[in-house]
Formats: sequence, structure tokens, C-alpha cells
Amino acid sequence: MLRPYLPILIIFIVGVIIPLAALGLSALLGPRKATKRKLVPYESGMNPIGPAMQRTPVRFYVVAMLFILFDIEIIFLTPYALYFRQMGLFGLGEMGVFLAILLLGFVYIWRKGALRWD
Amino acid sequence: MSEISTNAYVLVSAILFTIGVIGVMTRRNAIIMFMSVELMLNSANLALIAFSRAKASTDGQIITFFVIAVAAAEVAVGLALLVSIFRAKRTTNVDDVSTLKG
Amino acid sequence: MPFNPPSIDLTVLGMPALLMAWGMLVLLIDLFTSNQRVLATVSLIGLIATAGVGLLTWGTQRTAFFDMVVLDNFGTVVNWILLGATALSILLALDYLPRQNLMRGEFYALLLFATSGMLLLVQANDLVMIFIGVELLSISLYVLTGFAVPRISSGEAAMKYLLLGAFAAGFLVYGIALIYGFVAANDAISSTSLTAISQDLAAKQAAGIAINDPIILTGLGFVLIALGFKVSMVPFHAWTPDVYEGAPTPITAYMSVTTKGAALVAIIRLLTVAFAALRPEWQFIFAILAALTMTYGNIVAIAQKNLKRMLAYSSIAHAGYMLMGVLSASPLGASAFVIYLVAYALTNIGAFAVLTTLENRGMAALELQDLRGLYRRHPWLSVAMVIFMFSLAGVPLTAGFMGKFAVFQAAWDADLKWLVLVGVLTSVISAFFYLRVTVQMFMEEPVSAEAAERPVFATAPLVVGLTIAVVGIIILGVVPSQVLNFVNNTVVAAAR
Repeated sequence: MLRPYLPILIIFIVGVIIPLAALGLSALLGPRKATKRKLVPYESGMNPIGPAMQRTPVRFYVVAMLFILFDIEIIFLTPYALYFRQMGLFGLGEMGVFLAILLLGFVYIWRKGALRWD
Repeated sequence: MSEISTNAYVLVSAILFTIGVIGVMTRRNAIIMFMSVELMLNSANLALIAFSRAKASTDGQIITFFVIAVAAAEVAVGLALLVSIFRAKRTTNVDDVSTLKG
Repeated sequence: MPFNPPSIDLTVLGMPALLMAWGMLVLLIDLFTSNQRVLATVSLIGLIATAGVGLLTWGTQRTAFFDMVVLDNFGTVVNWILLGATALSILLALDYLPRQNLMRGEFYALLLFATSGMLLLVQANDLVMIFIGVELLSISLYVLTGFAVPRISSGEAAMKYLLLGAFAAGFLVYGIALIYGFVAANDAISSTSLTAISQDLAAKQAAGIAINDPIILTGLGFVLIALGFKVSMVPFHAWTPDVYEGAPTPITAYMSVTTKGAALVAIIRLLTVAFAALRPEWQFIFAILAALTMTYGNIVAIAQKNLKRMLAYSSIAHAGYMLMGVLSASPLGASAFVIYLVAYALTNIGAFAVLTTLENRGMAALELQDLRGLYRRHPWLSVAMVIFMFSLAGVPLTAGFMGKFAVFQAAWDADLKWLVLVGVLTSVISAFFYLRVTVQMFMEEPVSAEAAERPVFATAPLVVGLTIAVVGIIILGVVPSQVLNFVNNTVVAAAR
């Protein structure tokens, strides 16, 4: 019963082995020299620019919110994607109306300038 | 592999729902309250899916789609409001935002 | 699995669908013009067109979309009331928005979206449709409440409304899940449709299975909590005063009437169509909650100094009176509810219209004492306010009296005589604070010379709205027989 899942198991095992091997080998073979720059907690050896806890500009929130909305609305495409053959022209029409409404929302936020970055 | 009974799913969903309710009632940070509400909605989704499987009817799954979409809309509006309040007051704590009393 | 497409029956869904499409049209027009008058006019035309659809489909009674939506005359009458209330609110907002510097085109589109959600809620015959209707109206209203957002109280009100509204939505969805889990799957129609639920309960009863199972009672309770929250029924009223005070005044007027009306229709359908078999379980609890709602709203309103808060508490009390009609669970009760809703819509929106005339930019001036000497500043306005206050108190010869009379009669017939007694007593209490407003306007001197000189913004659209409200109240109060007969005939006929 579980046989079809065997490739997934193999991928899973390989996926665990490769990163472990990479980390293990570099720990075994690589030289270890702690310099001041390397001990700085972030920015991978470069000189840090500014503090770590920076305030995120509000426009990221706006983009994130718009992303959530359009991302989740796509959930209604899932049933259609599964049954689009059986649903035929009827499904096409329904999805057309749905996407047209979604597109209207997109045009609205675009024209209102919510997508403008600066 | 043994079947997990519908009762077990519903029990888990009831526990999640209760955690969500307690979260909304005890926490005072608006974002955490939102997360608790999400927990409530998703516990209901879990129950719907479990019932849907037990009955072999698709109605529950369809309801779940609607719940997910509506929850996203609600969160988007909530975050937008939070951002605008934060601009004015610099806080997301609901107790700090209380000019309305009477 | 074979796929059978649903018949697209746009007759049944006509009113909400047209209004929703019209909202999108307004959104599009907003992209090309910033003229508020144009947007408001287009919105008003949309409301009239939607009402016209109701006229075209008048007399049709059928369900569609797997029994998820129902069209009947009862729903159409309530839809007309909601559309009228929306139109009045637009008249209120027309000059209020520019005065408060809130000119953004989304306002009218959101108003139409909220109203279309309400129409959907009124015509919902399925728990999922109830959920979608409630959310469509709520999410639009969250934004509208926060529309004056540079003003912190508006944002705060919106935040409170949203957090508690989302909390209630959680209960609604979990309640739906539990009810769905209890009733048997239905292949012909939607399993969560009210028809399917009532059929399943009847079948279970016939088979001797107990239907007062904890699961379904909890589910029904959760759904009713969520709807009771929208109605601001005690003990789910806590958000009401804050939200009503913080929201822009036209929006307060709008939501105090329409949300209650739409949610109460959903409760009527839920209780009388789906859960009629459980009537002994819910009726008594509802009666107690209605009594608490009336008592609490009216008593706390006495202590309020701010007019908006006072009207908010009074709206809680009026929700209690409307609940009396609802829980009577008879055609008479439903028609009493409709009459009450008409009266309340005209009166309450009228009262809030008077408040908008007193609101200047950056200065609310909505304390009780700000009304002092209004008679001298604007005599007609204060006469209108007196009529509204009398109607809210239920003084005879006003619409409010007819509404109260109708719900009391329905509750009396449903053998809830003690509830009628509570209703009469709380009405008497309420007269105290409504009449206090009148006394302030006519008999007290203004607090200061500056207050006596404050401008009153009674602009043309507002005067039109006020006139409609006053004329409606007087017609319904003095010669009510036409309206009463019409409502009684349609609602009772729809119940058959």
C-alpha cells in the first residue's frame, strides 16, 4: 500500500544526507581561524551596517496585504483545476466571471497607486 | 495503518478552538489576538474536513474554501487598520488605544 | 464523480447580485472622477435599480442554487427597507464627508458592498450564505468605521469592531461545522441549507432519535452568538457604544439600522425554517435575552452625556424590542418585526441626521449640553429632533408607537405576557432620556456665547433626508392602516 510513496522516502533520505554530509565534511576538513570580523553575529564577515532590529517600511506591509488577498483568492481555482474537464464551458464561464472580478480589484489598486514603490 | 476516527479530529479541533477563544480573551496585543482568531477559524476548518470525510460529502470542503478566503480578507483589513493606528499611536497593544469610554 | 452544473437562477439572486455589480461599477467610476456628487448619484441610482428588481420579481417564491438562496416577498420587503436606509445614509454623508475632509471614493462603493451583503443575508437559506452575507457586510463596515482614520477614535473603533467581529465569525464557523457534523449529508441540495436541516431534524424525530443533542444545540448556540453579536444583543453588545461613537456619524446611522435588520431576518429564517423543531429549547432563552437587552440598553442610556453614545445604548434597547417580534416565531411576529424595522430606520437615521448637522470639522460638539438652545439656532431642526425622540420613545401618533404596539401584540399572542410587561416598563424608562433631549433644546440656555453662535449645517440633501424621515414617521404614526395591511398581507402570505 505504501509502495508508491517509496520515491518520496528516498528523496527524503537523500535530502537529509546531503546537507548533513556537507556540514560534517566542512567541520572535519576546514581550517578554523576565529577573526574579529567572523565573530560578528551577522552579515557574513562584512562590517555590519546599522542595528539588526530595523523598522520595516510600511510599504512592505501594503504589498504583503495585497499578496495575501490575491494569493488566497486563487484557492477558488483549485476545484476548477481538478474538475475542469467535467465542468466544460460552464466552468470556463464561472471562472471567467471570478477572474474578471479579481482583475477589477487589481486594476483598482494599480490605478490607486498601491503598487507604486516610492 | 489504522484509520484515525472522526471523533479524534473533532476533539483536536475543539481543543484548538478553545485555545483560540482563550487567546482572544486573555492576550492584549492585537496581532496575537488575530492569530488566535485564525486558530478558531482553522479549527473549524479541521472539523469541517473531518465531517466531510466521514460523510463522504464534499459540502464541508467547499465551506472550508470560503472560510479560508474570508479569513484572508479579514486579516488584510485588520493589518491595514493596525498599520494606520500604529502610525498615529506607535503601539499595537489594545489597552493603549482607549480614548472611547463612557 | 459526475458533475451537474447548478441552474444559474439570477431571478432569485437578482437584488444582491445587481447591487454587488453596481458597487464594482462605482469603484471603476471612482478611478476616473473624484467628484463625490457623481459617485453618490450613481450609487443612489443603483439602489433604486435594485429596488426595481425587487418589484419585477415580486410574488415569486422559490429557492435556487441547491436551496442556498431564497426569494420571497418577506425578504423583498426587508430588502427595500435596507435599500431605503442606505439611500438615506448617502444623503447624510453627501455633505458630511467633504466637511470632515473624508473625500475618498471607496466610501460609496463600500456602502453598496455592505448593503449587498445584507441583501444576501436576508435572502440566505443556507448557513454558508449566512456566513458570507455576514462577512461581506462586516468587512465593509470595518473599513467604513475606520474611514475617518487620522482621528484616532475612528481607528480605535474599527479595530475593536474588527477584533470582536472576527471573534464572532470564529463562533459562526465553528457552529456551522458542528451543525454540518450533526445533520446527514444531502445529495440533492446543500447539506447546510436550512431546508436540508429541517428535513433531517424531522427525519431524526420520526425515527425516534433525540434531536436536542448537545452537538446541535452547541452549534445552534454558536451561530446565534455570532448573529446576536451583529444585532448587539446583550450579552454580546459590548462593542456597540465604542464603535457607534467612533464611526463617522452617517455610518453609525447606517449600521445601527441595517445590520440589525439583516441579521434578525437571518435569525428568523434560522429559527423558524431550520430549527422550528427545537423551539422549546431556544424560545425561553431568547425571551430572557430580549428582556435583558431592553432593560440594559434603556437603563445605561440614562447615564450617557454624549448623544452618540446615548443613541448607541438606545439602539441596543431597540434591538431587544425587535427581538420580541423575532422570537414570537409566528407570521404575526415577523410582520411586527418588519413594521418595527421601518419605524426604527426612519427614526434613528433621522436622529443621526440631526447630529451630523451639528458636527463641524475637528469639533464634534455632540454632548447633551451642546443641544441647549438649538431651538433658537435652528427651529425646524429642533422640531424634527423632537419628532424623532418621540418616535424612539414610542409616543402615540408616531411610527415608533406603531412598531412597539405591533411587537407587543405579537409577543402577547405567543404567550410571552411577562416579556410584554418588561417591554412596556422599559419603554417608560426610555421616555425619560429621550424627553431630556427635548428639554435641553427648548428650555435650557446655551452653555456659552460661542455655543449659541455655532453653525448648523442643514444642507439641501440632508434636509431632503430629514423631510423623508419626518413624513414617513407621521404617515406611519397617524394613518398606519395601509402600511400595516400591506406588510401583514405580504409577510403572512410568504409564511404559508
